[in-house]
Amino acid sequence: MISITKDDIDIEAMIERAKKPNIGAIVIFLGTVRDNGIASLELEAFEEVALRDLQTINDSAVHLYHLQSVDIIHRTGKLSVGDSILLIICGAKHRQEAFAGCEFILEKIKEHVPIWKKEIRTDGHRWIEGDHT
Amino acid sequence: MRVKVRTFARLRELFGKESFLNIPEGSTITKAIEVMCSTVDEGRKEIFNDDGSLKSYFILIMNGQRISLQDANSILLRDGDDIALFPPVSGG
Repeated sequence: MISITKDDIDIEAMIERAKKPNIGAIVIFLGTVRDNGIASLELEAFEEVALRDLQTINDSAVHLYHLQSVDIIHRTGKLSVGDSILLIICGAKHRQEAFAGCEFILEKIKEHVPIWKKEIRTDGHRWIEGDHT
Repeated sequence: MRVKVRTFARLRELFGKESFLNIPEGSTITKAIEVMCSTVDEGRKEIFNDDGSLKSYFILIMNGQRISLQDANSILLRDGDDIALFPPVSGG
């Protein structure tokens, strides 16, 4: 499943869905909103391009790391400290592929997919921008 | 001709989510962005370097496809084209 949603993620249901007879390892990444003095976090996406990019990343990861299953769910909208931002679940025959595939997907999302975070603080807000170099 | 320019994140707060611009036939992407910038005080300074080039960290998409900023000066727009301009991403 590849999805961008404002809704909360049912993580346990997603993990259960990932369990299959041909899968020996499931690696899960869950990004959450960290308390670094913020009141909340807002996420915005260029959704049509972001979904296409996520699919491309998924396809690359499956090919490179022989993954048996991939789920990527990225949230948008207003989130509070502790809320889930991004869920990646990679299923593979073996753990090495699952770990490597999950890391690949995460780094590609951070590098490439048009989604942005805005930190909301009591004294104003700040858009987080990726590396300018 | 009429083209759409969409912006995101801090650019959206400055220029609005989308602008429909009437520009001359044969205009480049750069020209369309210049027209968008002219609608906002300090808009040009936000997007362009002093030498008139687009600041190198912006990302440009035309009709759903990523476009190099260098090509923004040479690609000629057509009626109905859809341009998106945004800062470096921060998802994940």
